[in-house]
Amino acid sequence: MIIIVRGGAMSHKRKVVGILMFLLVFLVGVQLVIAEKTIVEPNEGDIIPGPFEEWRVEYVYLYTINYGPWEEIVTHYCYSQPTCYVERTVSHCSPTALWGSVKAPVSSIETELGFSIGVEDCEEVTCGATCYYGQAVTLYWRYKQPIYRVVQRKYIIDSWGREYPTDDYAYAYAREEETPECKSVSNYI
Amino acid sequence: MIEKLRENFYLILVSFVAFVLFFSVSLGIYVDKISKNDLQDKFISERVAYVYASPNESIEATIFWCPPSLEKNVSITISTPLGLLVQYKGEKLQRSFRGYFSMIVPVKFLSLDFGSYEFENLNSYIYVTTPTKTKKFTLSLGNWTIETSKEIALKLIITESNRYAITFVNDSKLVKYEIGLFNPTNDTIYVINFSYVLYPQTLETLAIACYNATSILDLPKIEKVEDVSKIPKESLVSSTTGCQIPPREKRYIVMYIKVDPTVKMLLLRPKIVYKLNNNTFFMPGATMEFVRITERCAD
Repeated sequence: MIIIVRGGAMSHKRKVVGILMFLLVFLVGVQLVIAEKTIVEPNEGDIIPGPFEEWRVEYVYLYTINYGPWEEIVTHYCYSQPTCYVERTVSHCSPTALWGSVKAPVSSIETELGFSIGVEDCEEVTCGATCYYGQAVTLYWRYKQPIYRVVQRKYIIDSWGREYPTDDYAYAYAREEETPECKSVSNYI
Repeated sequence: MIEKLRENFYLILVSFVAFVLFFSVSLGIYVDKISKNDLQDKFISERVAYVYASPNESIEATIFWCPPSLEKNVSITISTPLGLLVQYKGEKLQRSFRGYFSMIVPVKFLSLDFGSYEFENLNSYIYVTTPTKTKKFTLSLGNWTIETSKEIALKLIITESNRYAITFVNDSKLVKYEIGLFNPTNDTIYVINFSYVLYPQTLETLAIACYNATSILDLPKIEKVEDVSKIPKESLVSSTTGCQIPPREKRYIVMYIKVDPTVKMLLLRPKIVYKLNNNTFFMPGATMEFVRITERCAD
């Protein structure tokens, strides 16, 4: 009788061990799947090919320096109502460009600047003005051209993945699409 | 007896290993969940700012926004510190540096008398509205120092300036404030200083230099703090000689500022101090924003 009880306890323990072993194998499997999905980045000390140089964009300065001439859009005469409102939308298309000493990949410069190079894009603006009885209002527009100075710096990356910034700088310039802007001038008729 | 002990040992060992694995898997799932939560709207808005302006003048400050994804028909409403509302509709939102969307917020300091004022943690509220929901964010525009004056005399014309200086590097320390000034008068004007009042432990003017160049893009290329000391003495602006701008001529003035890497954003509209016929005048410079964007905003 005692032997039967011991045998039953043994069998129960074996079942528990079996379940735990199954759980163990299952968890190891899950961990392997997770590890597969995790991107392992090289650590300092890992041997990678090199040394090699890499140009990176370190600074970007934005200047608005070029403006087109003011051009008249419309003149509105206000002679039948106490106040008049005139509104027009101006659309202006221009290409983007990159020049100068381009060392970093163009795709990387595009990412840092936030726009694509070598495409034509259109910008529009709505201009409006109010004038009063006996007045004429004229709307004008012009384009302004944003220019970016892209400061690139050369880095040396050694066989151990360590990065060394150098004193070598290169300067590229990028032109974003021109954006229109407006002004209004009121005069008595 | 030995067999029983061995069986118990295996049971404990397997239980322990299973527990460790279960714990690590749970931890992994938790970390994964946290990193997924990281896919939230990110904003770059907190700055230190110095603005020299006439009372009731409006300043434009930029907020950079990186949404986890951009839904169609999204509309952004920004409530400025003055209660003004600025709205950006989906198609008007444009990607800017590193893929962030830039949004211009007008900041106007109404009812300020002449003097110097400090505003800490100037708040702005942003409502991101899609057809299904509206999310509200409270953003700090940072700490602002505003100086207003009735003695502003705009005798010089600002022809060019750098609106943004963006760095993508964590530890870069040099910021250049560049401006082109045209003297429309019949007398020589001497620019003697660009001044601002901000935290001296994080911002320090290293030098102010005066250049005669054909374009703002042709100014000397100085990118490191150490190189500022190499600027020729004759180019440096001192309070005694100043930067001499003859009648109807233009000069470029560059202020080299050392910024602490803890400064992520700076808005600067300095006070230009100049002399004309032995009288001292003041005028505001152009607004420049320095932003440190170290992470890319992916689609």
